[in-house]
Amino acid sequence: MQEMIFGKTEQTINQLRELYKHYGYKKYKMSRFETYDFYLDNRDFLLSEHVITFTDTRGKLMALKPDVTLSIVKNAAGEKNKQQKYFYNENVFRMIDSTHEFKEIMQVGLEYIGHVDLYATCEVLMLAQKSLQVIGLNSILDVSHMGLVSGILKATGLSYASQKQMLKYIGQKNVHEIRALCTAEGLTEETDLLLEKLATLYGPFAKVLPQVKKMAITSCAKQAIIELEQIYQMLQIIGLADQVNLDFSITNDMRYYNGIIFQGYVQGIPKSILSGGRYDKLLHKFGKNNKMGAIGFAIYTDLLDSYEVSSKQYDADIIICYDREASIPTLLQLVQQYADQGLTVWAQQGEDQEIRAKKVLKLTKEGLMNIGSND
Amino acid sequence: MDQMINIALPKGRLGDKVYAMFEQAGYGCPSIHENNRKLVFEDKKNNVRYFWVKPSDVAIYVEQGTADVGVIGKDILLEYAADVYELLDLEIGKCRFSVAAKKGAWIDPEKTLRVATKFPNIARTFFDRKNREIEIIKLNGSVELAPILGMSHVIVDIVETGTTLRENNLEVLENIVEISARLIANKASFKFKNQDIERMRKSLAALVAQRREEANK
Repeated sequence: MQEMIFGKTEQTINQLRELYKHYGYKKYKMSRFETYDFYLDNRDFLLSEHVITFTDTRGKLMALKPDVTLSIVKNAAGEKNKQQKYFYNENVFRMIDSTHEFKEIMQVGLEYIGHVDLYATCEVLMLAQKSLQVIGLNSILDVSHMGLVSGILKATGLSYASQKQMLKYIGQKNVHEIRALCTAEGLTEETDLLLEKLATLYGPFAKVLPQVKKMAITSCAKQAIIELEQIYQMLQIIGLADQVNLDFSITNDMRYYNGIIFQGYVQGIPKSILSGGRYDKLLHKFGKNNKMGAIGFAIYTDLLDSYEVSSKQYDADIIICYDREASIPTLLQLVQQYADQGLTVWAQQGEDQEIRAKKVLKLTKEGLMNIGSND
Repeated sequence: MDQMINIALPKGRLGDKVYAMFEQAGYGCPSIHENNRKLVFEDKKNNVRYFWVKPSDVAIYVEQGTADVGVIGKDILLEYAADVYELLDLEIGKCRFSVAAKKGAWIDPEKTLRVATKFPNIARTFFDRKNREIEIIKLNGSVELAPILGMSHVIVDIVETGTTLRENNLEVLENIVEISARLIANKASFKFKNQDIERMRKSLAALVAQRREEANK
């Protein structure tokens, strides 16, 4: 395929949309605004509490959407007992922690709402893996299970505040702080080791799963392990088993997420670009009946723009410099020819190069000459 | 597969001690001892590249993935709350965060407590937990001066030996948290260079354990 210079991100987004359409997901188009109290009610679910607000013409406080999942879930809650599959690509507005400035972020994602069984879980995981492959050649998908993590945490008998603290240390793979907190809270050596193990275990399913089996200390944890085993068997069948890792240091809010959660990384981007999981609890908050579940993920495509992995950047593939005596019909034909080949062409009078191109051509009345390349 | 590991070290005394540990753990880079102003040092044999950066910037280099791993004081890690893995306590550069005041000073519990510090986040988190109303006075150095001259009631600062406090007639009221140098890693690097980083963590952990044992003898 011809290497494209412009719009690599747009191209990726298009490929992702096509991928999701093939698996029966419908595009979800949402309005730009929601009422502010909607986000206020659910602010724990949002990554940041900061929302851009304004007053609409009727004096109602509105917000520019910081998140898409919430809106999809709210609207899906109206449709009882129906299976719904949506994908979206929408701009969301979020505050960036490091700069304390609002940024418009293009987010692509999908949501599966309805009866989430083993098939649905595997379909979403598979699509997450395929999405990563669309984004970059070398990618990693890591899976965790909130049921296992919160099951083990609850068994410790720690207060909610301490559980949250412990969850944070597990997320940092911070063994020495886990040990310190266990000592301070008077937990047994056995619990301490279990929590340390939870934080540090990392690797392919096949390698890690046998060690996880020893962690079935509560019924909740036991169930989680059974689910992970079933998922592993399915991944083996579709040939994805060695591309997916287990990592229980991936954690998320225990109040919303209950089943598997996962994160994806692509080489060249220092942060997780894909993040998702099973969030039945959020669905139930919106009044969906308890048999329904939801699973989905989002891709932060703004990271693609920031870290686009390309060795050399050009404004165009080819520049054609022509002088006053050059034949305009020949020039027009040449430009058209190159453009039809899928290349980007820039024609200009004179040889002052204000833009960078891979190849510089010169057109005079004698004909076309190659006068330089930047390869 | 061996891949180059990029390591950000904090410039200064702590950085020198940290490099000595890496060297002992098998990640030496002889060119680092050359007396020059270069900031980047590479060793092809051990597959490591070191850079010296300002201590408060180590977390940023690691979070952005420019460095795969780095070593940083827990004080800075707490203040910046970077999204990184904290893999190991190197047990060097030990000190603690403390609240200190003028010796024998009476602190009126009915008044808003004025706190002078270089670390506003750590001070705020600590007093928030106690539901104490405070006013932060952010200083950039010589924090000890603030209570002496009556600008603040207390200070929140790093205490190593306590000499500076004693010489300025201040005393520790409360300890907030223990500080030492920590090995941190970028989350994506940890996944893509997992075996290499794990090996490094293990070698360093073994060294830390050995040193602890020797100290206890």
